[in-house]
This record gives sequence, structure tokens and C-alpha cells, in this order.
Amino acid sequence: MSDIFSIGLSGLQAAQLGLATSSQNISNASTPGYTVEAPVYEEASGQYTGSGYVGGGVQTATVQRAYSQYLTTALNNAQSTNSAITASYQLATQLNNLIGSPTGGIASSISAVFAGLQTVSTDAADVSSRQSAVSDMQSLADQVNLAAQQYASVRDGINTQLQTAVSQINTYSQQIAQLNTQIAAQSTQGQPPNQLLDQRDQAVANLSQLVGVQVVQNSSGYSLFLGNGEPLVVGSQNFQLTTVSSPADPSELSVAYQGMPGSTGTPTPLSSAALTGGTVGGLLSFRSGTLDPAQAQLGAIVTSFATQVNAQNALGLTLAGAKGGALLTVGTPNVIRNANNTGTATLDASLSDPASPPTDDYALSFDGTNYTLTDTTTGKAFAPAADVADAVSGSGLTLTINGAMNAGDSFTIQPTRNALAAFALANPDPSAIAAASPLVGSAASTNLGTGGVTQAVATDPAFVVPSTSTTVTYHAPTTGGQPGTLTGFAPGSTVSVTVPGSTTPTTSTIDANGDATPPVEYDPSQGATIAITNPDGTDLSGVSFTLSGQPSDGDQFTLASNVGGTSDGTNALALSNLASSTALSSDTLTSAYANYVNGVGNTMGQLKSSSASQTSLVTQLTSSQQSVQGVNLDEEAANLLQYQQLYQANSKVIQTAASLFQTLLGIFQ
Amino acid sequence: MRIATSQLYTSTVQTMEDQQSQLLQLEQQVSSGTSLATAGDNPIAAAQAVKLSATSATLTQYAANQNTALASLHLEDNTLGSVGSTLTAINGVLQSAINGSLNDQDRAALAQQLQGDRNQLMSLANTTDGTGQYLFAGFQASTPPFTNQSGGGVQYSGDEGQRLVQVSSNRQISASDTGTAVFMSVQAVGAAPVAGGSPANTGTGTIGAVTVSDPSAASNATPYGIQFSTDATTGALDYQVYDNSTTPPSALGTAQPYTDGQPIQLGSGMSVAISGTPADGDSFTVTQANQAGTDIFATIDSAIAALQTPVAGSTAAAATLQNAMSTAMTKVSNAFGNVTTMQASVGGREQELQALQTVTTSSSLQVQSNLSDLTGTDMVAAISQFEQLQNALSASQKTFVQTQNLSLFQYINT
Repeated sequence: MSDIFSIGLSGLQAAQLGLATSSQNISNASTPGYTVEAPVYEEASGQYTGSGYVGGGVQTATVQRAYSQYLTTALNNAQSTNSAITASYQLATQLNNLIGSPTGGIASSISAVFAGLQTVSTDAADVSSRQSAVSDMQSLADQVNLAAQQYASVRDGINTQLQTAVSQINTYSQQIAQLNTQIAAQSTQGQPPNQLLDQRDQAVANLSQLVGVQVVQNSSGYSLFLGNGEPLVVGSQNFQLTTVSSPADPSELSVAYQGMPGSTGTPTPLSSAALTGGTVGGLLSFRSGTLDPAQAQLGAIVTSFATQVNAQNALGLTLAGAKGGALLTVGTPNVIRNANNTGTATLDASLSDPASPPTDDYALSFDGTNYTLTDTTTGKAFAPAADVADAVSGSGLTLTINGAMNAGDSFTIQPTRNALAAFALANPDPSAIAAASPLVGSAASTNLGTGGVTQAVATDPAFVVPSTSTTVTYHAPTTGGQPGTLTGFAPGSTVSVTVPGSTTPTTSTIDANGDATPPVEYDPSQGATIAITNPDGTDLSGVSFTLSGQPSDGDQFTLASNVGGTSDGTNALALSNLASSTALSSDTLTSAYANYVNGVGNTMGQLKSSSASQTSLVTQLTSSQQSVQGVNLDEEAANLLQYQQLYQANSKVIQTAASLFQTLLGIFQ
Repeated sequence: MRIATSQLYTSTVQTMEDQQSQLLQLEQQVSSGTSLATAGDNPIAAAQAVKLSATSATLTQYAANQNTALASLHLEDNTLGSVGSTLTAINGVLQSAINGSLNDQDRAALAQQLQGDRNQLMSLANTTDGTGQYLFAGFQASTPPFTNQSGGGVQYSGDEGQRLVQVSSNRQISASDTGTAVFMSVQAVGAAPVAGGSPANTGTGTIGAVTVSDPSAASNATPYGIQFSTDATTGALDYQVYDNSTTPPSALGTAQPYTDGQPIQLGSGMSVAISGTPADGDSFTVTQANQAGTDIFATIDSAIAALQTPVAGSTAAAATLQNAMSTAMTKVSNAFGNVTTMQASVGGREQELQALQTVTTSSSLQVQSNLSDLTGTDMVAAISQFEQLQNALSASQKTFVQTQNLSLFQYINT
């Protein structure tokens, strides 16, 4: 009879435990990281009797978590990638909004400047049209400077997010190490500490969202490693990360490995390979893969714009009749000495062709013998060379090293990083626009032929146009079918004749008597562009003009100074025609800007679709994982009923035993 | 499959959030009318939109330039029209001046009239446009291009600059012509050679118009002199043709006997007749139009001077006057021909500009329409999509409410 009592009692206890577990499941139905638990019942050992073994009731072996390591690991990895994409996507959205409408912004400001300059060309003497062209340039400069500020603020935002993420990583890795210790201690009694296990899994899930980690489970608990194998947690020991300003670019923070908490050693910056996935990986890959290239690309556009405008302006005369100066300020390449350099060398960098600057960032390193230039945007290295000029050949940069570099020293060169912030109006005076060509060409009114001079312009910023005019005389050929000749060029001049469709000029030199060797030929059937240079600094030099038509023998053409030609808009027209110049990597400024917009838009579009697909992967994995580990309330309701009935039935067993006992006692009455 | 109850909530909430954000996006597209607000919406369309907006801005600028050029050319056209009528009036005065019945007073009155016409021509030559820029000054448009010179003629202080205006991507049109081209030039082809007599002539010889039999003859370019002399032996009046381009003039051929009204051959392509009786030592010239002094003001000034010189019964003086008048008429007629040619060229440019305006307007419309195709919202599609999403969202909400009502706990009553 007592065994019936004890069997009933064991049933009651089991039912109570079942009810407790179900209540625990119900109460934690919405707790993040909670793993559904279930009691594991087993039959208690029986007792030998002559009539066979009699059962000893039920006993609860353990309370088991429905934990799937496979699904949890898959979900953590997917979450890690997802939060990397989300971080990148959010920043790309910011960058995309910064560009704004493709029909407005910097492109429309550039168009406005060129349109304004065209208005100047139609009425060059009108100061109001010049003023509005200057205002157009100012508004472009404002927009470009604003873009510089926005880029800086995105970069600052990334720095702040990195700091926050790194401090969270340290908190979680410390938490995981502590949980490892506690779990080890509490497991010694034989039962798993389910609640602590849940907490540790949740901490690992949170950490995975910040940075991609490898989880290795062994006897001492979880060990966590970064992408390059650096440990974050090993058993009860956690290791710390920190942020340091990047030795290659102090404006950017990089993540460094500090080692054990309290370690005073110099943190080692981690490579991008060590930090893949998670918010940190997303921030870093966005910064190096999208933000820096986009800024460099926009910088190249404004550098090219300013350079081309300044160069063309230098070929004209201002309203005051002076040689045109720079209208815009162009930024210079940014050179950063690596903070770990041991040599004393400094580096000067300039652009070989500022009208077509490189859009990538570079690093120059020295191994003791050879210099190596690496394109840090694409990762491509140039051929190493002992001479720095050879090492950078083809990069679009001109580098000068002052002092000596030691082996291992390096410099970072950002050719157009400063361009946006440095872009400004060099001269806000409307009369500074050099709208006029420095010379004016004409055919003498006594000419008998139809020859005419057009496009008398300066071709070299060091042009010389003396106040006395130069008269060129045409001499018809003595025999038919031959080209005629031109005379009247100043002694010492070099005259180059280019016929349409050809790129190789025929060059003649003029001797002290004014005789040309070979004679300067003009073929009336083709026309020609004639360029004149003269080193003496007082004669006509650095100019060219186009001759067309059929002159008669003895016809004269005059090239005169255009000082006072305030209504001449020839050079303003040339300035406005820079809109179609393809000096920037064989591209117009507008299509370069279109490429820039397209590039940012594409990044954004890619991230958007990756984000959508990764989110759906995470959703699927979450439901798979939750289908194993989550709480289903209907199931728990059924369990409650089941355990309740179990309890009631066992109570009945005890009642039956009691009543049997009463029956037995009743015998003696 | 087993479902975690919390998943029911999170996944439904996520779906509804997605649907709401899409609804918001569509709502923005419909209300703003722009589907391409940022590059990320459609990167390829965004790149095209950048280029199309630049093209659109350029076309707008070309349209503005065309208007500027057209206004300037209209003004020049009108001015050239007035110049032409003034020259016609001058020609009329000169015609009436050769009428032999006029006396010195009549001629002085005609000289007054010519002076008035000259003043009018001068003010036309110094015409300014709406912004005070001189029309015929080349690039030096802020100073008056023509000023009178003491001793007749004018000083041109403009230059030979042609103000070019960009009116389409590959066409620059000249929006002005220089004072030299209008007032101080003649056409190289088609202008009549200028014949004249020396004012020092003492005979009654008058030179007629030059007859050009071969306009392409190279000898036409030679400036000719015709010198009369009395043959020492025969006493007959001879003439000798000279090439005046050399110093001293070189004789061409030999001296020929003079017959009144007989054409005198000049080179191989021209001839001129002299009538009356030139005296020994009298000389005449025949020069190509563009080498004979093309300044119209100087021509008028010398005509005025000739008209103001008293004739008073002297036959020699009358012959000199007649020669001066016919020289002036030839030059005025050449200048008139030049002005009408300029006017035709201006008219041609105006027509070209008007044609370009039409082309630019239609290109501009095309670009605008392409741009709005790229960036504008397709309202029909957007609104129907909006409706669809709206239905989907309300369905999600309904099913969520239904699903979350399904709980076993509802049926467990103590």
C-alpha cells in the first residue's frame, strides 16, 4: 500500500514539474532568446517481488531545452550578414539623399554656370550678365562645399557608430566569458543551467549582429574568434577591441585589437578581413567600398571643372583688358604620412593632369630598395621601382619625396579628397571673367580674294599679343596646283600649319630676315589653322587663327591686339563650350556626374535588393529556429490540461490508496 | 509544422510594416508626381536624367541665345534698310547734280542736302542697341565707332571683331557686322570699277562708265591711268595708258591717237570711253572698286566739296564736276550694292535663326517629355498599385485579428 502512495506521490511531483515547466514556457513566450523547455520523464526503477517487478512510479530526469545548434548557428550567421547589409544600406540611403534629385543638384549647377557664361558671350560688355555667371559659380561652390560637409558628417557618423559597436562588442564578449564560467560551475551538479545557456546563446546572437564571429563549442564553453582567427572569448577569458584613428587616414577610426582587459600594449589595427559581417563589417566595407570612392569621384569632377575653367580663362582678356586669372580655387592632393613611419621623409603630391585627375586613393610604400604604389580603392599594385617617378608612372600623380623613407614607411595619397572642401571662387569680381580673345583677326578691306580669318585665339596662357598688329600676306603660287605661301611673321617665330582633318602640323621657322624654312604654305582648297609661337616675349606668340577661303595674290590679313574689345565674347563662348569638353577621362563633366549618380544609385539598389533577400533569409531561418525553440501557446495549453489531468489522476491514486487503507482499518471495528 | 506563437506576431507585424512603407512610397510618388526622387530609385534612369537635364538646360540657353541674336540682327536689318534708303537718296541728289541747267546756288543747295544725308548716315553708322552698345563697332562696342576726320572722311575706331553667338550645338552665328564691312567696303565681286578725272584737268574731257567685257581677266586688278598729250610732231591728241601700281607709273603699250567717244581698251577685260576734248596733260584713272577708296563718307565729302566749287561758266570746271559726280555715283552705287548684300546676309541669318528656333523648341519639348517619362510618376500604374497594396494591407490586418483570436486558452474554463 505504501508503494501505491509513493507511486501516486511521484506522479503528483512529475505533474507539478510538468505544470511548472509549462508555466515557465507560457510566461516566457515572448522573451527573446528563450528556448522552450520540456520535462523528461522516466520510469523509476522497479522492486523485485515474488510476483515480479513492481514499478516505482515516475521520475523526472531533467528539464530539457529544445535547442538546435545547427539552426541557431545558421541564424546567427545570417543575422550577421544582414546587419552588415543594413548598416551599409542605411549609409547608402544617406549618401543617396545627399545627392538628391538627379535633375537638380551639382549637375544642374554646372549646367547653369555654362549657360551663364554663354549669356556673357552674347553680351560680354554687360556687367549684369557677368555678375549672374559669377553668382552661378558661387552657388555651385556652395553646393560643392555642402557636399563636402555632408561627406564629412557621414564619415563622422561612421566613426561614432564604430565606437558604439566596439564598446558593445566588448560588453558582450565579457558577458559570454562570465557566463562560460558560471555555466561550468553550475553544471558540476549534473543538471544543465538552462537559463544561463539561454542567456549565453542570446549574447552570442547579439554579438553576431555587431561583428561576424566563429563560435567553437568545447568543454570550457563557447570560444569566439574573429574572421582572421583573433580570439574574442576563450573559455572564461575575454579579449577587447578598441577604436584608434587610422594610421593611414587620421580622419577615420579603425578597429584595433587590444588584447586582455587592462592590457596597456599598443592596440593592433585589424585588417578588413578580420572584420567581416555585422554592423562593424558593414560600416567598414561601406566606407572603403562606397563612401571614399564616391567622394573621390565627385572631387575629380569639381577638380576637372575648376582646372578647365581656369585654363580657358587664362587664354582670354578680362573686362579691364588684362590677362585672365584663376576664377576658381582647386584643391590639392591630400598626403598623409603614416603615423608609424620611422623615416623623416615628407611627400609632395600633385596631379599630372588636373583636368583628368585619378579617382582612386593610393598608398606609397618603401621596402628599403623599391617604392611601390598601390591603388587602395581597387587593391591593384603598380610595378615596384627604385625610382619614385617610375613607381608612380601611369597613376596620374607626380610625387616628390623630401628626405629619406625607411623600409616599411608608407604614405596615403588622396588625390581629390580635399577637392570638395577647397572648391571656392578665387575671384568674385564679375569683370574677372576673361570673355574676350586677346587678339582679333581680319582681312584687309582692299583684299580682292574671299579669304577670311576666323577663330583668332590664344592657345597658350603665356600668350603675347603686341599692340602693333601683325600683317600676314598671301602669295599666290607661281605655278597652278601648288599651295600659296604666307609671309609677314616676326623673325624668330615658329609657325605651325594644321590642315583640317590632320593632327600633325607642318612647322616652319622664321629666320632673322623674316624668311620661312620651309615656306609657310596655305592651300585655299583646304583652309588651315595657323599657330604662332615666338620665344622673345615681345612678338606675337602663343596664338592661332584659322584662315579659309581663296585669297588673291597680295591679300593681307591682320592679327591685332583686342585690348578694349569689351564686347568680344569669344573666350566666354570657349568657356561655355567646356560643357562638351571631354578632358575628364574622355568624358564630359555632365556624363562624369551622371556616372557618379549612377554609381551611388547602383550601390543603393544592390544593397536594397541584398537587404531584401537577406531579410527574407533571416525571416525563414528565424521561423525554422523558432519552430524548434519557440513556445507555442496552444501546445502549452494542451500540456497544461495534460499535466492537470495527470495531477488529478495521481491524486485519485493516492485517494484510492487512502481508501484501501481505511478499508483495512475498518476490519478491526 | 510547429509554429512559435511569437512568430505569428512578429512576422505579421513585419509584413504590415513593409506594406505600409510601400504605401507611403507610392503615396509620395503620387502626391509629388515624381517617381525618381533619388538615384537609388532607378540608377540608370537617374544617369539619363542627369544628362537630359543638362541637355534641357543647354537647349533653353540656345533658345535665349537665338532670341538675343535675332533681336540684334533685326536691329541691324532695320538699320541697314535705313542706310540703303539714305544711299538711294544720295544717289538721287548726285543724279540731279549732273543736270547742266543748275547754277552754283542750286548746287550749293544740293551740297546742303547731301550734308544732311551724310549726317543721317553718320548717325546710322553709330547706332546703339538697347544696352547702349554700338552696333557697328566690332568688339569695341562701348565707344562710338565712327568719328569725322578733318579734311573729309571718317575715322573708324572699332575693330574687325565678329560677335559670335552659339545658337545650336554646332553653329555659331555672327550677330553683328563691323563698321568696316558695312560702311567702308565694297563687294569684291560685282562692284563696278571706279573711273575718275583729275581735278587739275583743263580740258573738257569727261570719262564715262567702265565697260567690263571679261570680269575674270587678271588685268582688271591693275589700277590704270590715262594720260593725254599733244604729239609734238603731228599736233594730234594722243593718250597713253599707264599701270599706276608702280612708281613711277609704267606705260602699257604705246600712245594712241584720241577719238572722242571711242572706247579705250584697258588690259584685256575692260574699256572706258572719254568724250569731250581733254587738254594736253589731262589725266584720268580707272581703279578697281575696292582700291578706289571705299569709305562712303569720304565719297560723299568729296562730292559735297565738288558741288561747293563754283563752276560759273567754265567748261573745264563743268567737266571736272561731271567727272567728280560720276565717280561719286559709281562709288555710292558700289556702296549700295555692298549694303544690300550685307542686308541679304543678315536676312539669311535671321531666317536660319528662325528655323533653328523651331528646331530648338521641338527638341526642347522632346527632351522635356523624355525627362518626365523618366522621372514622372505613371499615375495609372501607381494608383492601381496603391489600391492593390491597400487591399493587401487590410487583408493582413483582418487575418491577423482572426488568427490571434484562435487560442486554445479561450476554451479552457476552469
